[in-house]
Amino acid sequence: VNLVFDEMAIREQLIYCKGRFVGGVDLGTTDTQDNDTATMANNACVLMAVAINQHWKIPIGYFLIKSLTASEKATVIKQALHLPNEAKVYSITFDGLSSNLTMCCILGANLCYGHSDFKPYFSNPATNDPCFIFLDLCHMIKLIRNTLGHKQVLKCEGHQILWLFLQRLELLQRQEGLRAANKLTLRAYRFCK
Amino acid sequence: MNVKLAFQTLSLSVYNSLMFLKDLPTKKIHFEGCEATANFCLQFNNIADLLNCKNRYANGAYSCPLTRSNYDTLKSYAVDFQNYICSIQDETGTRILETCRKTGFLGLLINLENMFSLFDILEPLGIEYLLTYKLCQDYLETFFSAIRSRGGFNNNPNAIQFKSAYQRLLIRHELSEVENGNCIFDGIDILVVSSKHKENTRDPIEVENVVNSCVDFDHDYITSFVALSPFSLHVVEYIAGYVASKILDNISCM
Repeated sequence: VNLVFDEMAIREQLIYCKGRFVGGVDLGTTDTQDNDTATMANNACVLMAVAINQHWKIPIGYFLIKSLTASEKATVIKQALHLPNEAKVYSITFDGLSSNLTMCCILGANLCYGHSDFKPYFSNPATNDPCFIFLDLCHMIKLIRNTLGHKQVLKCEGHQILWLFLQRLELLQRQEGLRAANKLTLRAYRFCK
Repeated sequence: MNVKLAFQTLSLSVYNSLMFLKDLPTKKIHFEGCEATANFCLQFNNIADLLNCKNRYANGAYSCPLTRSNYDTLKSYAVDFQNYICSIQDETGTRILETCRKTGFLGLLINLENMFSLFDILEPLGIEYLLTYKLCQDYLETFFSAIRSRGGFNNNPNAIQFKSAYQRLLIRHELSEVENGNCIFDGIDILVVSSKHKENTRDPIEVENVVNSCVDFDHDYITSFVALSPFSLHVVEYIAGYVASKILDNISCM
């Protein structure tokens, strides 16, 4: 089973419902609903299990949060790793948030690439098997595109990779009104305003 | 955030376009020396293919599921990619992995490393192939899309709405692509596909009519001929060739 972990924005709002307030930070640990000073949650963090060798997925749980530090996330993940009964968690996926990377270090991974003890996994506390870390591909590709877009120039073995060429290609296609079998449009490179 | 656009920028088609335009004499806009840029697009397109395989029977060079038989081939590709990523530097000559914008590159390195370790672990447990799409976050993003589409496409639900949508989806969920969703869903309808065979719509054009109409309406277009730039000329040629090959599929010439 692969464990997926991400956050989704929700509206910051306190709602009075059935004799108590809902909408504050709720980690399910303490009864904070009656607390007047509760901070309002603006994110919902959801955990989901996806089967690798079968065809199903199921959300495991959610937390209403403001933001979580790396160590808090680590605790949440540890809890989640204990949850599945018969299925075993072998990998975990999340996006490139820096606190997610720090969380992996807390759980016992080492993410310094090229270092002698590079260790992109940690041991699953429930089963003692290794639990591999994956970062979401879509987000990674987006980050790389943004890096090129902001830096304009990257170098590789003495050659220059220029964002300019992509802009020129788009410009040419716009002027000619025809595209050379690609989907590059104005929107694709005007991501950074 | 729209992820589709990022995929379109670093794609094979952009690589092809750039390589094509490099050799083409254009007056206004120059593309000399764009090989490195094109190669950058190509490399990341291939990495994305390798890490985004959805179909067990896919047989692309890179977009194929990891099995024991192609383990070594894919591993050698992955090593090449890792070396390529490591060799990328920023404008001052610092390695990209040592700058503050390393997360994207580091993430891909970790993925390329881990997919093989994961297969090593899972293979003794009886798994024959590893679909790398299963390791993507898209499953959760489609779930979020579904939550947002509850309550009349409310893309900013409050806590109670979120909770009820979550519970509802646990019981019975239907997923469909949303135009502004964070991921690309392959668009297969769940309910409306029937098992009935599709009618064969071959040969909708009667050959004789086409021939006759050509004779009847044969005009001289030279007067209205517009000079095309070299780029447009090639594009028009390409489209014409595509149309011709499609028509050849549908009609049978004597």
